[in-house]
Amino acid sequence: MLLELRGVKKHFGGLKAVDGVDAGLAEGEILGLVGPNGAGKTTLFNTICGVYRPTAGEIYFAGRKISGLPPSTVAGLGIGRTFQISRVFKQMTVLENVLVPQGLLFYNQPWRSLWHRPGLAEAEKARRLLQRVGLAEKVGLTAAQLSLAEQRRLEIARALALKPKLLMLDEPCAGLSQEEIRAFVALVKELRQERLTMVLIEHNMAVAAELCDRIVVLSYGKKIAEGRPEEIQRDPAVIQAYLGEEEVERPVRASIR
Amino acid sequence: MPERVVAEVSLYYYLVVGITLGLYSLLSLSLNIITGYAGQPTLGHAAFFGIGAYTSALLTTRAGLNFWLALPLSFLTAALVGWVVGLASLRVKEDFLAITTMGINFVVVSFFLYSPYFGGALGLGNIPAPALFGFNFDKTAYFGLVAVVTITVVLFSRFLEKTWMGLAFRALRDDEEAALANGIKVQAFKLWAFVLGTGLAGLAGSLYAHHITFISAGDFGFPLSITVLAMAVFGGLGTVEGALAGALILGLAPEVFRFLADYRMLVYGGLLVVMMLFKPSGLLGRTELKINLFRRLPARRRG
Repeated sequence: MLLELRGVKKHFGGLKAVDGVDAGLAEGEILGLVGPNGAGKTTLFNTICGVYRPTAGEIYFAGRKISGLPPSTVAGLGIGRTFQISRVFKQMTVLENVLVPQGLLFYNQPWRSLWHRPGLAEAEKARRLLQRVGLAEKVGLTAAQLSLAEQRRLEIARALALKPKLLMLDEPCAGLSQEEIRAFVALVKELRQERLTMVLIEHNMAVAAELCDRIVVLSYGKKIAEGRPEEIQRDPAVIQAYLGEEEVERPVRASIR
Repeated sequence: MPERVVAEVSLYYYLVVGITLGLYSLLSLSLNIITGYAGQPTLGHAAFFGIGAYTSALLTTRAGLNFWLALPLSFLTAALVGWVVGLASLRVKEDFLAITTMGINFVVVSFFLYSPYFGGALGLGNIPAPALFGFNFDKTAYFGLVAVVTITVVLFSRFLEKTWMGLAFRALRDDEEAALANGIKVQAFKLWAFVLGTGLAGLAGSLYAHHITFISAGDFGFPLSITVLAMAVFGGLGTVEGALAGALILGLAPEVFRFLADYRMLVYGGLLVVMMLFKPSGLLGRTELKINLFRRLPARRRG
């Protein structure tokens, strides 16, 4: 197991955003994290990345306990991520955005980062990654000048520049057109061929089904189903969580609970 | 007056203006590291200028130390205080950091004003001009010294921009959460920006003390902090050219427009607000001041 969650809980006061999730992820696998709005997907995602410290439970990555570590350390251990709302470095050029994560070695020792600078090798690597995600022509633009779809691709290139063992994508298709989604699916398939392990939060079941080896469904902070995409799509608990109960015969008041 | 005396007086005047502009440039460049590169607004920069000045004055007048030793020591003292202050205050950001650093400015000034060891309200006098191998620095030589230090800091800033540290500063300025996700220890790097910026302000303070030879707490008050911030914002945050342009233009303005000298603070303060409203990135800058109070103003106007 590359990533292992053991009884992970994250509560905000009385709100149990994530309430005891167990899950595992093998190397080379793509895990989908789906669920209705407010199910706790992004909270769980952020807890893995170190943005939140879990209220209870443990997270192991490559055999090492990572729960409680700050996000910068988690990134350094090899977990790259993208954000649901674009978080590119807006005032930097596209190329500089992809240079940033390559300084990882120096960010651990700030005094050394004062005497070293990115060189041609780093710039070359950044260009290669940008070419991969289809941004080769935009290298010199400021990141703020890119479209939403391009900013998402830039975030993926930036995350790949960390040389991650695990890539975490938070709703990479939200707000994209059909065409842009197809291009994204093609990119993820390419990455899969290199056996890059990925966690993908995805609202769009069709996309999740096409890309993921396995899907975990969350609802109200709990895991309600786990399995291969075909199984998940037939699972009555999942259908209920997504669409509400079929044929409501009970009184309305009871169905609210 | 005989012609020669007039010529000397006017040369002296130009040298003093030149030294003053050099000191403003140093302050503006050092503020640019904190507020420009790393994007952390500070309204207390004058405090560290003062700490450098007092350190150098005390070391040379009381401890009998040589200027050439006092100069780097005032850098270190200001940087050390900057480190302690940064450790406490960099937990907050934007408006709250601006207010906190402003408070620090007042605390430091009262500390100088009310502790007798620092000369109290009388200040410290008889600060010696530097000497080297028996050569006493006159104003011409001193101007040369200030120019050399300013050029060094310009080169250092340019160097810093290209390093991993400079890249980390700009990354955390643009987006702290994304910087963290890219392995940048945001708190540590903010502290580094603060230490470098306050240390260089201290260095400028030492040069000021040995130029003016008499210092008192009032020289390092909040109005100077605003003046320096106005320079950096007017010229443009985040670039060396911006910091220099701001310092030179706003530093020279009161000399050229003598009648405006009394209303200087009004002009600087007004200029700061006007720039934030109409040209937030300044003349030559690449980033804006992160104080929401000012940014909210145009939104309200439009709404």
